[in-house]
Amino acid sequence: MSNFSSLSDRRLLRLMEAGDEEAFVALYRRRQQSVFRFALQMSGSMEIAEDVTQEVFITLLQSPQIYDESRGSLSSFLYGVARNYVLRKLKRENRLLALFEGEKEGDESFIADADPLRDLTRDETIKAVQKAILALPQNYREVVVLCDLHELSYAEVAEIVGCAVGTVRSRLHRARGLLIEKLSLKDEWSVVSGEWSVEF
Amino acid sequence: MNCNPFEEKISAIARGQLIDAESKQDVLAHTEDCVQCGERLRSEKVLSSQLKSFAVAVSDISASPKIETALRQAFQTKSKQEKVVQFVPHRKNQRGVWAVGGAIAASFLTMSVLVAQSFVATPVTAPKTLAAVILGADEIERVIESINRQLQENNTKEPPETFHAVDRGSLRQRTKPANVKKRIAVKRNEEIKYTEITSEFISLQENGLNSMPENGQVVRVKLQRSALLAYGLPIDMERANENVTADVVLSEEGVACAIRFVHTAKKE
Repeated sequence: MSNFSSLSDRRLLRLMEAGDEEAFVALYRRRQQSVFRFALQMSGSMEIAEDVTQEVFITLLQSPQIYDESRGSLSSFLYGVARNYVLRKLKRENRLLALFEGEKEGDESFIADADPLRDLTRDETIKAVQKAILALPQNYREVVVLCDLHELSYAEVAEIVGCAVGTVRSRLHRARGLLIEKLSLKDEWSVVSGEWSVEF
Repeated sequence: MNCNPFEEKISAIARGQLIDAESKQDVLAHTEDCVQCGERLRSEKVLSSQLKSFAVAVSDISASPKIETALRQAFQTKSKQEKVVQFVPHRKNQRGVWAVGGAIAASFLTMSVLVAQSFVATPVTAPKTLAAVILGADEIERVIESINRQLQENNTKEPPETFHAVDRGSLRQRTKPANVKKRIAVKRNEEIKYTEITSEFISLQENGLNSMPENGQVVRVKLQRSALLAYGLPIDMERANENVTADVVLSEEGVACAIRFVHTAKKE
């Protein structure tokens, strides 16, 4: 397996297409974490995140030809496929509604409580951030997750989401404004937008 | 004071993005003068640090090992299927073989016709060759006469079968495999009725089927079968490059709102 670590995604994909199982596993191990975290941060559900991760790599396995090298990196392609699956699952299962109605403290949290001595304030803050992100409208949530949590460039996010770079920039700006409001980071400043004056 | 030009740059500074030094100076100067933008910059910085903490908190999370196991199994199943498929001649390849065979047959028949025509056009005359010296002039004359007789008989008879074979229709019929013949026969039989099986409409817009237009039109299109994957529908990978029929709902503005896939089947 260590031989594969130096190979590019494209090379691993070619080997996978030629029937090399270990190349496929190497590719999975390299990319699964970002796909899984993206699905988790978008949905707030471990179950959905695992389903989506599996479906993304099954799609890659069954139809590697749908990845067009000329249109971007394999990583962006996987994010794009994961995004489509997440949105479909959220629509189908109406998970967001359940999230807002549930309000069971910690039920939907996916932050591991491995360290019992963790700073309680920090833990609360992280849970609040998680909740605020999940409360964002989907098109704002995805740019926050991709730009701020996965640290992708505007161009990469535009490619994944399928919109212009300027749109990504403005959505991120508005999304961050909503997060500031939601997290009560500011008392006076408010998002001046009739379109998104929604109280969560 | 107009704060619009600074708003996105405030976000960029708080997120640690690279912006040119001059713009950064302008923004920072503005945030010192403008209370609102100053507050926004502070809030943005706090938010950035909280988002970073959140990203770090979930950075170790990854999918459970059972997914890797399931994917390995899927890979092995696919490999086995591909091995089985290798022994089954592909329909496209069969077509290729038939086409090559047809082409060879056609060229052979054309050659035969040309040879036959050249015989008809030029009756054999007595050659003044070494053969005439060895066989004797009388013998040569007899052979030539018999050949000419045979050629005349052939010219008065029906054209040879090879001549018919040049006709494209009959050639195509001979070279078509049995299953294609059957398909043509089914097409020509107007008595047989067909029925359409359709999937449900799948929304192409963010608001789902609720945002379907009141007025619009449905357009029938053909898509590559692999397009079904994008809608989460299972496909036969052997036929990924074939076309499928779909109905697309267009709004009055011509925007595609929903799609459904259509399968045509013979009525039972």
